[in-house]
Amino acid sequence: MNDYPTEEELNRMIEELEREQLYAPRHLKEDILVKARKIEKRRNKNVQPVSFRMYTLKMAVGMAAAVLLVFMIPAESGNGFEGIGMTEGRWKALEERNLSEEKDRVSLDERIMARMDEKREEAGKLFEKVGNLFRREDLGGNDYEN
Amino acid sequence: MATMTRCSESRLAELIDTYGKLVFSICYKITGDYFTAEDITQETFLSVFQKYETFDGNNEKSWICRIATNKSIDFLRSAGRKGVPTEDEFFEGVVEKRGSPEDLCLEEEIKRDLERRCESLKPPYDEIARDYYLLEKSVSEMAAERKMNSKSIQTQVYRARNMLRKLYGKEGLA
Repeated sequence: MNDYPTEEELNRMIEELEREQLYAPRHLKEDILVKARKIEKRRNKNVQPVSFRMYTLKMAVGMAAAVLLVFMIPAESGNGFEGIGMTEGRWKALEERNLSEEKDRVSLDERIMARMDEKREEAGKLFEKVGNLFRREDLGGNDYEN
Repeated sequence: MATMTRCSESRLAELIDTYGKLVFSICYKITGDYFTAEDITQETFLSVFQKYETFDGNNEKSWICRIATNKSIDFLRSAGRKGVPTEDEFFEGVVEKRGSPEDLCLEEEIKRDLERRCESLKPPYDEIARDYYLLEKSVSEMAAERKMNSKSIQTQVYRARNMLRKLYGKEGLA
């Protein structure tokens, strides 16, 4: 049987069935009503589209805030990437800060170098003294190298 | 086209009271399977509940029975059931005369057979199946008797049903 019954056939079947003793399980009504209540609950909720919109809105706001932060917060100096979109004043302040840091670094390097030179000189003098101790002329004899 | 308002729960209850037996009989007649008839009857009334607004208001009985019939036929098609009646047989003389002595005996035999199958299930499903199918108690009645949650009883009924279905299926009975 491939086709659905016609209206006439359906009505005939209904009439014939109604002449006989009809039966349905007693629990069927309650089962159907329980499921219908669930469907009704889902219908009344009607939250799905709203929550999706709210979610999209939240995501968009979050992304916008993240992008803004990327532009607003300057990166650490020395890594070649400075904060983009800063005001001129902030640029100047940053530059000055960088310069003064540079100066400090240079003066520090110089001080270190100067100190090292001092130490090298002292060490040289000490070696000379030690060397002189082993020279024969100091001990009253010939130079041991000869 | 849509002239009806949404179907309320009370309205659905009225429809079930009025047409429930007819719809179940149609489904059982077409599918030949008790459990399938139960399922399709439920689906029919749930469709009615959801689509009530689309009903034009003419001949409610015919509309509901049409849904039941079409769903039953769809089930047979999709399940690929054997023994699907031909067009000639289907609506002519398929409706048996119920209430005859032979049919009463047959019903008794079916009940006894069902009882036997229910008892063959492992506990607690044997009692659940007996209460639900033989004594025709509702889920809420069974839950109250056992002092259990309705959902737990519903789950047990569902499992018992599947077990019975398998038993019937194995022995080739509809």
